[in-house]
Amino acid sequence: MDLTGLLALAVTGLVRGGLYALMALGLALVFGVMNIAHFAHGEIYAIGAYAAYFAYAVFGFSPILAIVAAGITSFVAGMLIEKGLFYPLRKGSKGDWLMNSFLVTVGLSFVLKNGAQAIWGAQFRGISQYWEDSIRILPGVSLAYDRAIAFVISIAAIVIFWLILRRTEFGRAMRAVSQNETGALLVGIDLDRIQSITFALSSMLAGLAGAAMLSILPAYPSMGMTPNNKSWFVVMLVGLGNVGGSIVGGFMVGILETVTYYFLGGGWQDVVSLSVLILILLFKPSGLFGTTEVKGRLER
Amino acid sequence: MLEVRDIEARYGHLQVLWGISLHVAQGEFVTLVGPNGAGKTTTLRTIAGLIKPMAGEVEFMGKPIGGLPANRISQMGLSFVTEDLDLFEQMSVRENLLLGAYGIRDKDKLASSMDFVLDLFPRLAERQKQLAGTLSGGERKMLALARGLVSDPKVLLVDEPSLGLAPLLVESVFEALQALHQKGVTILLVEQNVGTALQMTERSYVLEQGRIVLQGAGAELLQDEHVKSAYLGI
Amino acid sequence: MNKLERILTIGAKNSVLAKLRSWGIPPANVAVLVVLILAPLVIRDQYILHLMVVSLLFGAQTIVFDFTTGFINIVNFGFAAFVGLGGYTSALLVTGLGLSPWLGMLGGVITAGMLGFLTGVLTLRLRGIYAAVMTWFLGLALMALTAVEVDLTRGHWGLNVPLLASAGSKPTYYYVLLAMMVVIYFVLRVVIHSNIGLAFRAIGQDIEAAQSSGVNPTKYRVLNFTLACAFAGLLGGFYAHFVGVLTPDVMSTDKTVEVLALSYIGGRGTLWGGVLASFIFIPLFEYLKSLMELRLVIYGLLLIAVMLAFPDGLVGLLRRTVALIRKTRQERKVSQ
Repeated sequence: MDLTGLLALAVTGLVRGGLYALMALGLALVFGVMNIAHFAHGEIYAIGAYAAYFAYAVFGFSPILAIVAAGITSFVAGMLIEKGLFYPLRKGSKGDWLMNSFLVTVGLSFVLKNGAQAIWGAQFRGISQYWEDSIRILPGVSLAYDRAIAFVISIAAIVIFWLILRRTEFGRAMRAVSQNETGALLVGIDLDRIQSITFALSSMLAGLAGAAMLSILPAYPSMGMTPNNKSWFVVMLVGLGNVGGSIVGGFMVGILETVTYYFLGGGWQDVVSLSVLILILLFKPSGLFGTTEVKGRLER
Repeated sequence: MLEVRDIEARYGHLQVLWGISLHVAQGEFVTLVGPNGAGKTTTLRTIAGLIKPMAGEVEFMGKPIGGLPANRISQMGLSFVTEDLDLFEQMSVRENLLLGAYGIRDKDKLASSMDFVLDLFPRLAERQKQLAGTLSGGERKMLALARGLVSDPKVLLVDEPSLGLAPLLVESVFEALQALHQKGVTILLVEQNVGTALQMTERSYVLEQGRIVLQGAGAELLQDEHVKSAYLGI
Repeated sequence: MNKLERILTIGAKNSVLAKLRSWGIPPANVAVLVVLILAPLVIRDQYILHLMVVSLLFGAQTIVFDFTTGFINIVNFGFAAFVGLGGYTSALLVTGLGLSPWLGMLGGVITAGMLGFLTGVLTLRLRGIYAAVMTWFLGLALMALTAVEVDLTRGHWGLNVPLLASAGSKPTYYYVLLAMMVVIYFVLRVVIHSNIGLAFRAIGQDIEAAQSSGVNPTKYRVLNFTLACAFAGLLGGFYAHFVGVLTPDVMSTDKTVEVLALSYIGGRGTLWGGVLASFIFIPLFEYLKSLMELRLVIYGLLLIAVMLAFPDGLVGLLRRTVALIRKTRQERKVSQ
């Protein structure tokens, strides 16, 4: 393969990786801070996509505003879901929290996916493009504006989020809750509030991804399945709850997938990547970067 | 400052506290001693809000706090240093301390608190960037104490700080506590090391099987026959 | 009636019920079975019969699903893939080798059982959620494999499968499936009530404690998976020859979730709770056509409700109601 081809592949891989990293980040966050195996993450992505569709194609928002609106919608949706589902589950649940919360998200996913179908029907709600044209990165390698902006949004969201996590008191509080809930209580952190905002943030990240990708992946009720599977794949690969690892992992998987797709085609790509994951789970269940801590409960 | 009246508490399905009453006045250094499993930790956890009392009242600075969540009680000025320490293992010493001051808006107050605490524990000052999980046993205890102190609490609850420490370190921990007491911090200490506890502090309560069986000044209790035979091996 | 006759008749009634009870068969189950056996003789409407076959199919799947979920406490999130594997195996054996559908279904049992054995081994070192995710990805991988091997399976084009009986002969399907479900239920129930079942529950609740009591988690996990997946394969074989066409979508996670939802709504750990739920909800949604679209939404909501508030599901509700009735009856007797 010549250099141009290689570069084109790299660019595609990076763009895809950015999206995967954004999605996986949201999932890892929920796992790490709330200890919830979130099966409905893809449906939150879909909420973002639908919101952007309605904002842009129906209400005539500008592209940026539509994406922002989608982010806000997903944030609010996440907040409502947390208060309505996970808060009562936390207060009342007995027994295996991980499995119980997982099954609740399975139910949620079913409700959202089929609810969207019932309300808006199965047809695709897509847009042809947000912005016209492409930018020419190099001779022979051009990238559609839509994809470029999607990539920029991903990176920006990831970076901003990372800064919040590492440098702000709120981010510290989130990390504290993920490492030791009792300790967090003892220093005066309101667990419920942190959980709500964490889930809302995770939802916002997923919603932004869905909105940014609208011209590439149109909105339809079961659109969330693939983003969900991919996010889970990344998170399991690097180790549940590993937030930093999920970003790196997202890029890794995005690039690897692009390469495999190029050489093997779509059908086999899935088989191969899933088989790889199964092998990794066999030999190192805690994932590539996984360590046994994060939250001791992960080992149970 | 701290008033506990007839509290009853459960640990899981087992009732552990059968009507505990104690009080700690401002500036006092009081200990709670007793055998393993007597309910000392449960008492502290109930006061701090980690456990909800089944009956009885807890008052902090005149306000009822029984049943309030632990984070609220912490915000009111009660710091609890647990036996497990509950440090944030993957965060640095500095970050743990910053979290100890969670909610403090006043930048100057925060700075002076941090300075105070790092002065008190110079070992921690040296290791500010180090991850809590990599500290030695003694350093971890110091960090836990420091984190409890950085919020300038009105009352400090400490659960078995000497546990698992080499004798030299035990001494320095107790010295630190004494220093705090001199500074005017109100302390309620749970301690297995009965002899030292009774010598160090003004007043003590002896807890056995979920009930207060003795209370009084340290010196008195040291002379008490039951204490001598049960705890001091005399 | 004189005293002697009275004693004799009461004695007779007691002895039938008593005999049943002594064999460990609750009379209620027998009653239900009798109703199920007699139903097609009374009902002529082909459409209703079809519904009943579908209900039985879901019900049978929930029994098998619950055998793993409710007892060794692992959610087989790739369940539909095992069902699908049985279906495709049977279909391919029949179309490719010309075997009779019965042999085909046997083939389905074997392949699904073998994969179940493998899955049990693969998930050995994994706990709870990890094991569930492993089975989930296994199911996804199997589905992807089925879709990509178009030469063999015709992938998403669909594989036509010879039917078991002529399309109009619904009662035949019904009785075949009923027989299957009864056998499955009976076998699984016997296992559950045996020492093996005890071992299952032990490793389901606390794997460490079980190990230190001498229970070998490996042996029992693998046994459970193999048996459950083998039966899943059998049902898949039936499905193939009932519906007449197979696509990789039969292995999708959505299909697993439907079975999972019915199983939990019925009552986890009861084996038959899902059958009850199936017979309630599947006809219900058919009759309330307007709700049909919302069917899956309602499954999801009910699943959430079960997780949040009704962990024992319908069976739990039923038992509590019965207990409440008995208690009020007793209280009334006492106060009289």
